[in-house]
Amino acid sequence: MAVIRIAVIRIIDVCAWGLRFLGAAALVFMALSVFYDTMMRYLFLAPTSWSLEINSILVAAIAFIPAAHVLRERQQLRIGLIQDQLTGIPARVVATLIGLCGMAFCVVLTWRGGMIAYDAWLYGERMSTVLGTPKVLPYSLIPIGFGALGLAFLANTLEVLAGVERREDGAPL
Amino acid sequence: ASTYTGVTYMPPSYTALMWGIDGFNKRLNEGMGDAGKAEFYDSATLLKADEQIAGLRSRSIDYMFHTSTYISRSFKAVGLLGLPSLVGELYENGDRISRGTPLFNLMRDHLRQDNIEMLSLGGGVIEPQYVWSAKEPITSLEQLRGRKVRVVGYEASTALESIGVVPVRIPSSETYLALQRGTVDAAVANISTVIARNLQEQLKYVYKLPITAYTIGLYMRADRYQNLDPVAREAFDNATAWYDANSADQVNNVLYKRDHWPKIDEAGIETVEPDQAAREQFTEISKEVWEWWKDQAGREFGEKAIALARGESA
Amino acid sequence: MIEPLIALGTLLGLIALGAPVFLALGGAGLLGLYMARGEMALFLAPTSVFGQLNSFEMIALPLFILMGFLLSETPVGRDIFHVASVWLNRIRGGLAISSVGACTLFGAVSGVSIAGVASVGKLAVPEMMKRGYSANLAAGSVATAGAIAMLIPPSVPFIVYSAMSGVSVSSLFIGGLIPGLAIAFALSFYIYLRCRLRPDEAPSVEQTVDWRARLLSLGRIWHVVFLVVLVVGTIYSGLATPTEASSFGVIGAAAIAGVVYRVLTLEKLIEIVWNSLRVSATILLIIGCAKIFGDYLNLIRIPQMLASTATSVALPPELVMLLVMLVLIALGTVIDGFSLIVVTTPFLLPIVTTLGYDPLWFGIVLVMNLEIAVVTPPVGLNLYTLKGVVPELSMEQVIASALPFVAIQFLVLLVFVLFPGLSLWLPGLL
Ligand code: NA
Ligand code: NA
Repeated sequence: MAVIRIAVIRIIDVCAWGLRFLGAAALVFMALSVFYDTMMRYLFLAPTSWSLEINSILVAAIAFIPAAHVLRERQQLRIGLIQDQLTGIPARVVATLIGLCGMAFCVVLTWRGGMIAYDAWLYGERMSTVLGTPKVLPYSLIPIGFGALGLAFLANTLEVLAGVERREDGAPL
Repeated sequence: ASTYTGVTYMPPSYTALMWGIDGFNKRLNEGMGDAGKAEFYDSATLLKADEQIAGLRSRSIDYMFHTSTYISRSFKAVGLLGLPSLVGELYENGDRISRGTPLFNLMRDHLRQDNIEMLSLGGGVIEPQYVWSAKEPITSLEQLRGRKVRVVGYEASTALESIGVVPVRIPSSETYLALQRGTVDAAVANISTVIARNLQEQLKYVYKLPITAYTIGLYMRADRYQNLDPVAREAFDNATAWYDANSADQVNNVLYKRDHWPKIDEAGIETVEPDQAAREQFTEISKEVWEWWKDQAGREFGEKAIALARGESA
Repeated sequence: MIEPLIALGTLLGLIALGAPVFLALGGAGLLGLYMARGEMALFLAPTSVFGQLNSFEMIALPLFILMGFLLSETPVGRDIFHVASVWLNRIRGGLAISSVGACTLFGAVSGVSIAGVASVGKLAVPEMMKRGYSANLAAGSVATAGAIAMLIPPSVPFIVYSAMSGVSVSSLFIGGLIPGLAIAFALSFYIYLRCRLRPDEAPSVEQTVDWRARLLSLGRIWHVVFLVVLVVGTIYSGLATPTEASSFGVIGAAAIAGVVYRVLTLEKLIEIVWNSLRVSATILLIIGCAKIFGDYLNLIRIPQMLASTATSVALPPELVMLLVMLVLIALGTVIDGFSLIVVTTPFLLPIVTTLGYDPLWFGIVLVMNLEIAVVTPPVGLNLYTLKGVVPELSMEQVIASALPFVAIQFLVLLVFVLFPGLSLWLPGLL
């Protein structure tokens, strides 16, 4: 069992790390492309047709895509006043409860978000802009991001149930 | 009693455009009596403009009012209502897209294929979007060349680009500052947007070339509409009939003329009507976009719809 | 009316248990939507989260965070502090006042409070203690003044409030300037008085500095001035919109870190991007999930209900606002700044506007509350940041040091609450 658990957690972490990498790339692209678009408009009267649209979508990407990795690193903003005082069984009960809530929340968003992305694909919906991005692309960020986030909650919960008290860096679970 | 949830992204500061929407909701609720209740949410409190279609399709809402320019590449039939220059003809002849006209029925049937029921287009297009310039006069096709103009939407951007305009995409919220500081030279806008964002404080000229326009349409899911219970159905139909007969008419012929344009005059903005030559030249240029739209919406449908919009028998 | 209480209880319960704040907001909102309209309403959650974030104006948030992180890797904080200390060396307590000034100036190039605390505090606190300043004075001045970065533009909290309220970011940025400077002056004046009354807290005379050295020292902060001029200049000249200007801030900060200070190795750069991404993603996800909860409140018309309650309660508006401030300060002790904005704005804004106050003004006093929230225990981000960069201080010491400064911040807040015109006249001019 332990082997399977460790393997599952490992796979989740690799996926989360990959998504985080994409998020970092999105952030760098955002800074550079907005600068580029502005300069092209000012100097050459040749702004891009895509900067506004793509970078708006990237804000959502930056929020969703790295979320799983941030959660695995226990870096999502939380108020740990009570939880951090707990040890033993109460600590595990609370951590498991949060993990289950997290998974339930992510299941709803992944499922419903997936259906919305599917509809946008089925009816060929597009943004009414020059670029006309098919809406299925941005809407897919919802199931991808929250799907990974749900798996990160699963990995956290598996660790709690297996009795891992502290992470390697000493942070509470 | 059932609850019917409706939305629009427009805030109350769009006073003229909200007049018909408020009137519709009032009549809808009166019509349903105890049998149902319409809950309406404006200002994008429930759904942002871009997400209204997704909300309608997924049935988190039951009906929506939406500006056609926002949804023209999803509801391809309504792309007609924003075609450059053509919107000038539709504005002058508002009754061509009233409920029950051949053009309205043609578009309605087209949208039904995608399970969308178009109940009304407000009875006509809202007065077209013109070119509003801030510092230097942009009051002819020649003066538009090489100018940075804030514009939204494929149809308007493409037509302007072919007369040498540099189309600029910036968020609506930053348009005021962009005009003030010269980030853009002009903006293509409806007069409601100008007034709601106080752009008249920064503007000096308006060139009344019909670049694009929108309707405030009322949409439901087709299956949702078909399956309304009889009382609700009647209430929707009666409120829709009122909306169709009054909305655009009131906006264009009463509210804009009485409340909006005087504010433009007060601000000292110079109004320039394009001459016949400019209109014709712009129509020729725009036909490229019309062709593109026909390909999007389907050739046969597109030909027929444009002919009807121009007052020809299809 | 049991359902809204269940939703609110779920929100507060999850927060208290230590669940991530985004989950508390999103989960409680989802439960509320389901109770109010059944299964179909669950579809509002994904569209709302996405719609809330799919916004060009919001790019300023990650970009101003990135700009601050780029600069906090450079010795810019140290340099600003040195310049200020050279100019203020004749005053008793001059170094502590210098650290307030340095934090304020750093605030003009950073959108979050911790970047300034880390950057200035790393050098200034040990330096002051070495020269005989009391640890309380040294730590307290930096911990509290670091928060001024949230009022001086650019400011991430203002961007968050703008997303919640619809008030324009430009107006908020301009409106934060006066209160930000007022707090800086109040803190400096307090340090001056304190050193006069308790001379043992700061050494009397420091080395003399001539005017030539003072002027020459300015050469060490030209980068910061350049960056401020760059960002403001691009907006003023019409080159860029306020949102686009944030990308100029990033490029400028990267140039200063990479070319002027040469501290940008590839490894460092990756670390900076990752840290900025982590902080941005955390805040953005909370903003997105707050919209789910906000949807629920809107759906059942809570804002209208609160507004009509506010009109029916026969209390003077000033008194209501004072109560609101006390609630915010109490919440601010246990809730971090960003969550404070997203959790309270949907409830408070309808009350505030019904009482006739300007939403712009409320945004400003809300962020002034954040200034206090980040330095009050047990949850005070600045306190932990300062402890992180100055390990020789104990946590108790850091907390104790901040408390008298909090009292000063509170007095300034009161003034701006009772006289809204003080913060509104500047945005009104433009
Ligand atoms: Na700042
Ligand atoms: Na606090």
